[in-house]
Amino acid sequence: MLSSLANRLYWMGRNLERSEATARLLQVYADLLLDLPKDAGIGWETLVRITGAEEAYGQARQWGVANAVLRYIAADQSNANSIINCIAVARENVRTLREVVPREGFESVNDLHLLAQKKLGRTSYVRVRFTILKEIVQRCQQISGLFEGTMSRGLAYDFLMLGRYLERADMTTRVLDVAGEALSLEDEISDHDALVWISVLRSSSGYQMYRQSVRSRVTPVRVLHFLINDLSFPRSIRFCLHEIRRSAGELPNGEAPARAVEDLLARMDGTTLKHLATSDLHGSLDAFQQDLIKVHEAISSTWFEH
Amino acid sequence: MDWSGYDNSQTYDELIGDNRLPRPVAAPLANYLSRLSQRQLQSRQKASERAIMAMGITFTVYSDGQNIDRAWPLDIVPRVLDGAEWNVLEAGLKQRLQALNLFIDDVYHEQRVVRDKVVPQHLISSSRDFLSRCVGANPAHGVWAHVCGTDLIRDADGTVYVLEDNLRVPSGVSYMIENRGVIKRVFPELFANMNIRPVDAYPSQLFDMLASLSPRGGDDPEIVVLTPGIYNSAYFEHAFLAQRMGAELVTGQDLVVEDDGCVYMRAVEGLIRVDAIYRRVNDTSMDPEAFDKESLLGTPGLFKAWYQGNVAIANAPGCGVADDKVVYSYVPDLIRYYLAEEPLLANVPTYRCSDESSMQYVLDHLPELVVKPANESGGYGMIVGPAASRGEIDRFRTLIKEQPRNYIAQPTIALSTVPTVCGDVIEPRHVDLRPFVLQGARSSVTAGGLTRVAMRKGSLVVNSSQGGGSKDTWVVDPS
Repeated sequence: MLSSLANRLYWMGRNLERSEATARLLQVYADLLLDLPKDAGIGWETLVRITGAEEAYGQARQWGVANAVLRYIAADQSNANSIINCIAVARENVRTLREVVPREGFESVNDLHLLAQKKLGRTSYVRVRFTILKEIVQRCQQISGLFEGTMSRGLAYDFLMLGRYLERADMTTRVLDVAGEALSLEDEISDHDALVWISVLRSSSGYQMYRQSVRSRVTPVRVLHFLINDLSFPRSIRFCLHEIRRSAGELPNGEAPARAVEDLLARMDGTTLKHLATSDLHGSLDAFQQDLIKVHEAISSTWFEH
Repeated sequence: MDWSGYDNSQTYDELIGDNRLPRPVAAPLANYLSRLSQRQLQSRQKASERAIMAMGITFTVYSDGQNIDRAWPLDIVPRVLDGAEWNVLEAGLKQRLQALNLFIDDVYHEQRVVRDKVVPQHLISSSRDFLSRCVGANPAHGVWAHVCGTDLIRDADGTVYVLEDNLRVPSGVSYMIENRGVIKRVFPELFANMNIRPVDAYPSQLFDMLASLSPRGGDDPEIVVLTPGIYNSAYFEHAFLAQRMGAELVTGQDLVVEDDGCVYMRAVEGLIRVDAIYRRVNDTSMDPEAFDKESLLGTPGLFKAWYQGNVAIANAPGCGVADDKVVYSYVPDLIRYYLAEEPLLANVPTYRCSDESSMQYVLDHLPELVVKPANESGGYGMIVGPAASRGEIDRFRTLIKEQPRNYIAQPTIALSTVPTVCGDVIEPRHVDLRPFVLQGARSSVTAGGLTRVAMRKGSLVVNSSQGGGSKDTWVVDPS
């Protein structure tokens, strides 16, 4: 397989995952913020920080208006990570991947792009946002399912999965990082902190699964453990890393990326939850993110640039 | 649809002959159409348009600073050709390409053709597409132009003429194949009852031709299709052909020339040596080292790798020297000179403005003539005298005087018509035909080709970039 083709598959995987995660995040936070008092320590700026867009946002907008934040994250052309741009990139990728992805895959991504172009930029945005965001999440899930259900397991599928799981792990660390900064990590938490931790779970689609597997009160340490380490939950960082390691093992010359994954797993093993919750959550998550960047670099230098 | 109201009095019609009776070879089709109600005809046209959308058959138009993917325009009424007539045209097309290849090879070697005064020296020395770097190169089988799209037209009296030989990167063949796929769904009954020659062998013929050029020989050559990228108007076709041949679709950045002088593609498995490149990029965007130093496109060292015989490139660099409308005017002479045969296909009578007496004739008769630049394709930069304004004619008069070598002129040919669905009715519309000719170790020709149709009443412009449509083309043998 051509390196450039593998590269486009990887980035299509990343961009579809990012679109879905960002749409869900917006949905959950928009919902949450209606319930929180203004001094809750969490606000619209939290969203911008999770999506890594502070600087660009600061330059582009006056702070504080819900509508502006939503629009910036969802539909701003100047924000490289906005949903509309992620979908547009995924669509440009899939245009050149028609030979390796199922025809319905091309059509679905194309339709998603048309939907985003038509509806995300609309001015009456707050009013209709729930429907659109929900539809985007659903479409992305449908596309993921289509690829899983129709693509032969081979090079193309593995590169798509590398992109998806790397992006997913990255997104989970971001969500945790920002929540950890804004919220108390003590076991005894206030009602609205509890609400926010539940939202953290929901923005990873994890609330229901958490409830089934944890079966006790929501506490910061348990949420952290679930989203970082639970090997049965497909959005936990550890689960994503195992998937990346598996795909790397299937691919030719995958030693370096697999080693980079092992390094991060070793770091996670060496970081106890107690340590995470009590001393330096931000520092630990930041180290995880740096390691994820190294995994990406290993993937890139092994298969895309030579 | 009743043929008695069909007005084919203007020129030769491919389906309907004298007294508005169908030509024998088209009779089953014409009779079938005559039994369809207007509504049935419309619903079949709509069904074909839906199939084209669903199959994602598109072409790209650059407009308002944006690239737009448009659904491919296909009219459902096929153009029908008699198998016996086609056999002659097919032989003529092969003959023509063989002569052109001998000419190109000669141009880049001894230029006997100039020495023997068959063509003048200035034809080569002033050609924009003569690449002096190609002198002395020896591509496999002595073939330079491996893929040729030859445009054929039929005049009012039924004579078929060659309008031009497209040797650079002719496109359209994927649409020929896709058109057939759609029309088979629209008229399955007719395919069951008529002997229509299939067209879908082309990708495997193209593959075999490319394989016959491989410098390493062997059964498993690595073949790639080189595209300028997704924004090229023919990207759909590049992807289509790569897919049908099982070849990789690459851009210049995917290829690299290593120290051993061979071409490799960058793959996740490592570097993989490439044997033959079906290139759909211009000569000068292939290799920034050899041609355009400023170009970001291309693969440094590619030209040298080809020149040394380490990789085959189809069509070979420099073959554009024969894709020139002044060279065109000499093709019948070239056939006689190189093959010692009489041409089987006629040229449209052509006035070379480089000849002084011809130029004077052209200047005196501009309103009757079609004037074309020697080196453009796609219908750009030309003028159709009878349809041109006074200002345009004056502008061309100046252009011709300034650079006579750059222009040729031809009488306006009527172009035959084919019945075409126009809104609620079927009316005659003008068509041309582009068959695709392959030459490697052997020669082959598509059965028919791509019929392009001018959708506007009376218009002679068939280019899809300028609002033309297309038709399926049936070469029919007696059943």
